[in-house]
Amino acid sequence: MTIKELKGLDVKIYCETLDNGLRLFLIPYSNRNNYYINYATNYGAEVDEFVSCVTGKKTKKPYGVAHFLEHKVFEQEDGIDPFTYYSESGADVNASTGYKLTSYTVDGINNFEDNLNYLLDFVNTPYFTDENVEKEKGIIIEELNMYKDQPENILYEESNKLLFQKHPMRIDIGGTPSSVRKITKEILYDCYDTFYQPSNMFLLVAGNFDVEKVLNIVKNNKKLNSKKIKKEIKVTKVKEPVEVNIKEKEIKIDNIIVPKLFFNIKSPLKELEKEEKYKYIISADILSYILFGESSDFKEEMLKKNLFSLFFCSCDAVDDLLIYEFIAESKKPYEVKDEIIKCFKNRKITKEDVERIKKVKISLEVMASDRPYALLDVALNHLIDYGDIIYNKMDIIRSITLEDVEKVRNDILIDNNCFIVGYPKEK
Amino acid sequence: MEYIKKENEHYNLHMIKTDKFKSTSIEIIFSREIKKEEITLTNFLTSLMTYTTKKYNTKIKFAQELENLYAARVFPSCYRLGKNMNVDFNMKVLNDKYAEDGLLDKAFEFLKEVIFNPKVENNEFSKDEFEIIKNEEISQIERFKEDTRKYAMLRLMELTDSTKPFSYNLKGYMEDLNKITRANLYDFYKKFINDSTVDIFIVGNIDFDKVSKIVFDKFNFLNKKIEKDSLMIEWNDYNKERKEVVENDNTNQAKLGISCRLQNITKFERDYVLNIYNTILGGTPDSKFFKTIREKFSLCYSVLSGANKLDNLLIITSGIAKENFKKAMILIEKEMDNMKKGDFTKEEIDRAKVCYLSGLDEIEDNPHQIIAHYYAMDKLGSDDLDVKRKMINKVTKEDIIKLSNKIYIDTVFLLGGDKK
Repeated sequence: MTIKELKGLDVKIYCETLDNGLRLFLIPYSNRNNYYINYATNYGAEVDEFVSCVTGKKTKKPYGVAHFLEHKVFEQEDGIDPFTYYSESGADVNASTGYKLTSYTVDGINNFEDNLNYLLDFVNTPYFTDENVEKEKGIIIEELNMYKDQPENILYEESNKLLFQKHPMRIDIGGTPSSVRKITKEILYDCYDTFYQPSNMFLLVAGNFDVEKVLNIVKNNKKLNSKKIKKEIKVTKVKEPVEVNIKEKEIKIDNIIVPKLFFNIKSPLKELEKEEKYKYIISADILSYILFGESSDFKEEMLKKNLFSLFFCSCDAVDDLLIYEFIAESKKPYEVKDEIIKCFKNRKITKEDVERIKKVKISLEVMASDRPYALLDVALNHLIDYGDIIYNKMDIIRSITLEDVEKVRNDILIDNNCFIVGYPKEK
Repeated sequence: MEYIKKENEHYNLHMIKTDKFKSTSIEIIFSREIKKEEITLTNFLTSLMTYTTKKYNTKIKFAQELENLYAARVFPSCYRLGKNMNVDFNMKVLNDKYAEDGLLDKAFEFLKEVIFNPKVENNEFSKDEFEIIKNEEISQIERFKEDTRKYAMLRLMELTDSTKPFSYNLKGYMEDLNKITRANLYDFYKKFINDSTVDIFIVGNIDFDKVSKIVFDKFNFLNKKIEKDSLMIEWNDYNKERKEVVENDNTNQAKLGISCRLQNITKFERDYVLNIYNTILGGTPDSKFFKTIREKFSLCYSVLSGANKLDNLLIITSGIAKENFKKAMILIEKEMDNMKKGDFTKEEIDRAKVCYLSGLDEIEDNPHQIIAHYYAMDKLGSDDLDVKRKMINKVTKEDIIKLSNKIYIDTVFLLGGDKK
């Protein structure tokens, strides 16, 4: 077991890779009552075509299968309901599916060892039947219906269809009612057996627990250790073109009252070594914070002109692309878009701006490290995005200069953007 | 964790010392009797107070000062507690070790500026900010209807009893907003600052003497401390017959809301039995509702019950297909009847108790929960942790049955789900 430190944060991470390939990251806190466990597979809604480890054949599954699987992993042959099991010790169990990950989480105060053991048990013993798969469809379709009534959600989905030509993010994580209806137990087993192998999974624990005990449990858990096969997982990589799919669209949404806009700028992200990549993305983040954050002249001016009431800006890497995303609530959406572009092109940035926002970023990292569950999320995202945790992130942030930020700004393909507005339906 | 309460004649200072966190949390809580016509004023005022001040007189300067205080944030949260409306001004600052010496002092200085030195000229708020915040408040009020779940909940509460504070929309009202001027808002500011009950909470690795000196030096509130009546909303004029209302809306999912009155319940039932009852019925994914309505009959993704003891209400919510309305109602009522008949096990009671107890153990891990806990002890007469642990274990099956016979469905409301 190797011990690594998150430098400048007083956090130690114990790392180990088991013979079966499962990667462990353990972050004990000496002064907490709670523990948080996240058992995750590197499998999410963005997997479209892959080679099944069961049949050895290339296959495509209906949209929403990763999310469907997340629901069904809770089903147990012995009839014990994981929700009931965990409530016996006052712990909570939950799960979530993203584009790249499916996570099973447990948090609680008591009974750590049994609760961890049972998490490994229940996730590693799938039990899918025609009947229980059929029954889940009503639940999932109601989940999809819930999201379909949320204006922001409709706009997010639609704006991804403008932004991406091929990337699976064009489709909602949960799929569609018709794709969900096509899912069978055979499809679920195929995906499960391929992607829920220990070598494709992570176990992260933070909070109040004993490192040695975790190791002991993981090494002795029968259900986990009966899965020794380490088959290579082959997923067909979708190469998303740099160009946006569609430049502009207007839609009418039933229950929208104040018009809303989503505006995205899509730029390529060069292949970089992990720490360089992290530095690049944080520099982009600092740039967007300086230009569009709380203390920006942009925001103050726009509010004075009453051009928007709500406004958010963020930037994120999607594979080898960097996406700047703007969300606003505005009665003059086209003017907002023009002002964003103008600001990107013209606003001067100073060394003082960069230093001030670096201080903000560093402080936010400290605050996040104070919340064990937040730190688990950060660690897991690093594992997926960079292949490893960025242990010296504080030093990297400190090293960022005005030149780094300007460079990132010069790389932006400002005209490669797409824009969607949601208007109310005339009644 | 060590708790000390100090007071002067105007307000209380609560300090909690703990070395668990890398930051110190400050909350200044203003509490006053809720009046419908003051809700919009309160939202407007507190947004304005956290936008600029006399010293930090532009949004840029205000935000940059917070950045200089190591990403400190100041934000107001406005919420209702029974008959009262509370506003918390929250601030979180890093410990000196991760920032610089004396940061906490600077944070208090900033908060003092926010509370006591708003940007006011000639007895009215200055024009630029006023217009900006007004626009934001307009959108906030308009936007409310976009969230069908929240809108359905508000409609349910209005239908239950539109004269009670639980039916007020905390996002505010357009007709009230239109009446607000820079001058009358400043009048309200003076009222708000001087007539509310004020409590200041600080949680962190602090020195009691040092912090209390800073606070009492800087925060010169002139408020009178009034012994308040109970915050509980009592209602004797309840609907004698159950109301059922269906409203059409062009949405994919119908939102179901059910309000249930709690009638003549005792303090022990309110503080303890109700919690166990709710957990078993619909409080968690291990509940009767979840297992029947979702897992067995696949009627919904979410179905929950929640008790609001200060309002004497239990609220049930779900999202269903409209054609399943009758079916869902039958199942919900059946589960509630089963509770009355005592059709639940000792294991279910035990699990609900463990859930409650581990909730108590979690409090220490979260500064906001620590504050909420001591605030409830101080203001609502809640028991301390040890008493709570003891009392919850006294809840028996008979207690739960007895309580379940004091819970009555008042209003059933279904919104939308009409999209084809």
